[in-house]
Amino acid sequence: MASHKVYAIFTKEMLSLFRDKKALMTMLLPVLIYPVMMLLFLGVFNMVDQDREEQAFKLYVNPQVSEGLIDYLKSDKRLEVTIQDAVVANIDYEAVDGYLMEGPKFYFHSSFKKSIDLGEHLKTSYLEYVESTRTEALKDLKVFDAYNGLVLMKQEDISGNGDSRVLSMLLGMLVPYMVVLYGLVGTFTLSSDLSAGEKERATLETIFSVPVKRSEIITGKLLACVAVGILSGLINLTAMFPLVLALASSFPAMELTVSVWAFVLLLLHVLPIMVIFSAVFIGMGMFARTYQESQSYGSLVMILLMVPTYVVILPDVQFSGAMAFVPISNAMLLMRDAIMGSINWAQTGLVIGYNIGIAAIAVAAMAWVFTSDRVIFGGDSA
Amino acid sequence: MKLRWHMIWNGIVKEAMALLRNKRVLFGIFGPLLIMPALLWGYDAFSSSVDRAAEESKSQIAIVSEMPEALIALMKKREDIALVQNPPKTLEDQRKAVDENQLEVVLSIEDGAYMLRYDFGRSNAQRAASRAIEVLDAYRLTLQKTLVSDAGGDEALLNAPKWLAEDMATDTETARSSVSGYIPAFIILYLLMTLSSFAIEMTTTEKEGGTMETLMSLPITRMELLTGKLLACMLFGLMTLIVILGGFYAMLPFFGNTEIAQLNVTFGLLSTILLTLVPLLILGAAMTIATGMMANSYKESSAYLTPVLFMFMIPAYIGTIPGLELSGTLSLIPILNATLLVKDAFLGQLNWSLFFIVFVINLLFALMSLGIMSKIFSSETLIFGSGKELTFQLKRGKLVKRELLEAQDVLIVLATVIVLFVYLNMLLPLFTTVEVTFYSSQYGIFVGIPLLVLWYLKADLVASLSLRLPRVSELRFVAEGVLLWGVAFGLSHLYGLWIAPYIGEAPTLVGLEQQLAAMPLVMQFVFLALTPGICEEFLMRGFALKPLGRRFGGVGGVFITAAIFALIHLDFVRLVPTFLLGLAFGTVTWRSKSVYPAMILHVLNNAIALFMIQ
Repeated sequence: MASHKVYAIFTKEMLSLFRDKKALMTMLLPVLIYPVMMLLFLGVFNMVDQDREEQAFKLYVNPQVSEGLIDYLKSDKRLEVTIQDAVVANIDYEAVDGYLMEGPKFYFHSSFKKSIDLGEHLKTSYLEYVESTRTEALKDLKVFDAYNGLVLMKQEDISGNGDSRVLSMLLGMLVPYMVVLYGLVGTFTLSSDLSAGEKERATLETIFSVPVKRSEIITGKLLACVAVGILSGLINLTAMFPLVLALASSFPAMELTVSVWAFVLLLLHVLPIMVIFSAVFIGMGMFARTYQESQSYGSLVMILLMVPTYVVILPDVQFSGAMAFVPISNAMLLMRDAIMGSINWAQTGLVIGYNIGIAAIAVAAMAWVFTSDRVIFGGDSA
Repeated sequence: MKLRWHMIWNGIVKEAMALLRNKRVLFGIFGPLLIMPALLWGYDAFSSSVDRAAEESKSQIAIVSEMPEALIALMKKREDIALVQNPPKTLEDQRKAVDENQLEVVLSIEDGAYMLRYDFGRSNAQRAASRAIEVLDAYRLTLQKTLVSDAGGDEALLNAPKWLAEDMATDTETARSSVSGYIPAFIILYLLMTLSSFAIEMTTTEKEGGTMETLMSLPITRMELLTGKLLACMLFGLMTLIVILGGFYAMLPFFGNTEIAQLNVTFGLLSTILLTLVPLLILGAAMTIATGMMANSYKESSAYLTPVLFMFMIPAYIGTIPGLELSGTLSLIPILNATLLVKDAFLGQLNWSLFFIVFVINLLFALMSLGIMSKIFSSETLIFGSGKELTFQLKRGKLVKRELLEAQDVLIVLATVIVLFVYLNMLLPLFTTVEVTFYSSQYGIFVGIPLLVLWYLKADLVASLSLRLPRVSELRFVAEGVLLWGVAFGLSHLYGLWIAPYIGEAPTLVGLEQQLAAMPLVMQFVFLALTPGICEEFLMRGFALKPLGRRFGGVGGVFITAAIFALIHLDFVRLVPTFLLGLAFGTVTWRSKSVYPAMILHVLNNAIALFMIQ
């Protein structure tokens, strides 16, 4: 295989990418959209939160409820308390937010957010009431200090910096997910153009007529697709980082420390995954007659390929014997662990090797498709 | 002009037959119906089994200090806790053991308190810590009971009645409440996706296939043709949505989703949802047809449709924020209002006055989009395509001199500027002062980047930036502009008074006032008035307005630059008044053909605001 010819094909595909609005839009638009979406979401969240903290509630209280508790609730400025012996089944939750009976038992309606919020507020108030009456009783018994000194508990992160560990956990979930998911979208976008798009424009025959072997053409296209996938994932990740840094700066104790090896491993894991994606989409694209057809069929395959990426979002899924043999998921879990500072080189080697093997099978299948004239130049209508 | 409905009907039938024959469109739309329920079931089953395994797992707890026997006995009693034999003694060894998953929590007594050390970042460790805390709580309770009874008190003091709560919602109401969080957004987004698929087939694919010219040669007016396409798109979009939702509703219970089975979709609920969707159908169909008409290929139309999708997606997603309810104000925001209205319909809390407002607002936007669509459809250049796609000329030597940039180039530069501006304002304050950040973004980004682009692309600076004084004959436009600005300023002020009770003072504003107080008055003027007045107008009304106006018309250009101007201020609450000011500045620039009046008005506007702060 002549590497300069492969490089020429690779360069040609990358240059076409820079002229392709859709591919550029897919890669770069999220960079613009994330900050806007974050700002809008945060703005609305703050508004909703502020409203929640200030909202007042209407509460019916059965006269059987203890006087002490009733007085305590009446002293809460956010509660408009009405003593009422109501029939539980007949309460109109548009007029009142909840009903408290002796027990205490609180009746609410989950279709009304205010009713749910009242339940949470009341539970907190009730626990405070219980605590205050207990405190008085303990003071009367003169055992209040001894009581409070029993079984004091403290929690500490074993690394010494709990906030950083939580941030690492979040990054461990987000980073592999974003890089792989956006890599998937990037390869999907370009692959249709590299395969079905070339067929549609009838430039495939022209390419095959030049003194370049099919294996060199396939390799050049595959490399271009892989490069775009990795670029797409990294660009989207980079787009998130300023926001993460700005948020992290609000917590002075939070130090973000991710080792260089974690990034190296991220790239090593992502490479065979991008090869798998590219080979699948390019191979599939060769069966389509038009770019549009390729995108229609490919979108379903993309949904299927997304499934193994979600495993990293489930916090209780650990890398294990069975998981080691699920391609893509195995790499996602190890990437998560690496970002959290836990690198097992044996497992890493095994998974990278395994995924390279899967990638080799995918590439072989793609290569077979490219050698089939019937597939490439079309036969009967699709 | 009178429309012949039988011709429109023929158009609808033609489009319907074409779509029904198109396997790839049907596959792309109905394909998810085949796999999504199975995928959802699979994911649900997998995460349930993971949760079960986690609950059934034993937490490895290492006790490294002398502990009361009673506590150890309680720990041993728990089936979900395993005490580690021969635990590591030093912190370093404990860390290593935690890293290697040999243990999860280290429990010790330090300075009279029980210390739990574990990895905060691991869920199994968090679960182990919760279990250990439960045991410690139970142990504490036994000690508390002993303390109280020894002091002569009643143990009942420690056993306050438990808080109980009962949900009075029926199964249907609970199911509807549960799905109301995501179904409205799903409906709206899926509707737009189906509309865009059909719109591309009816427009771009016709252009690509060369059948558009054939259609135009038939004895059918453009308006009749367009109406047929629009109605066919809407009809198919709605039918597809009904089939997909009906399909999910029927299939999901077979995959274990009992929630959907409880929904009890009534005729009333369906009618309300459909009525709400009608204006969105028109809006979505018109926008996607208009976008499809601007493209020359499927690839190009997908590229153009991406921002349109985001325009629908963002408000639809905002509608899923828990606690956000439809109000008078929110009912004025299209798409978001529909999402919240459908949510209310599911919850059985529909307010008919708000429904009316939502319907009217969305219908107005739908009518606007119909106007845009018909304008584009009447453009020969757009219908028959120029054949040109965007190209990046990478070498300056190969470029020729030009008077103005193309609208596409301007939009790309604006996107780049916004991104850089947002990121710079997030990152730079971490390393330097607010003033340095501010001046860097104003002069460096708003002025520097457009100048660089204009130089590189060999555009005429004076013409591109409207750097000319208005002629005497244009002075009346300046006067009109001043009047418009006065109106916008007044409305902004009224808006500020109206919204003040609903929002607290923005922390940035409080911080800004503190910064300003430390500056001399002249510097305050330069900071708050002169710099933004010059730099923001340089970018918006100088660099962007003319090329965008040439492409989209004066009104279009003014609207687009005003919208971006509002967005770039990154102030959600003051979005509307900033937009109004942008409209005023844009109008005076477009009509007077000079950027100077807008600069002066902007400086004046900010100077007055500064005066009011003083």
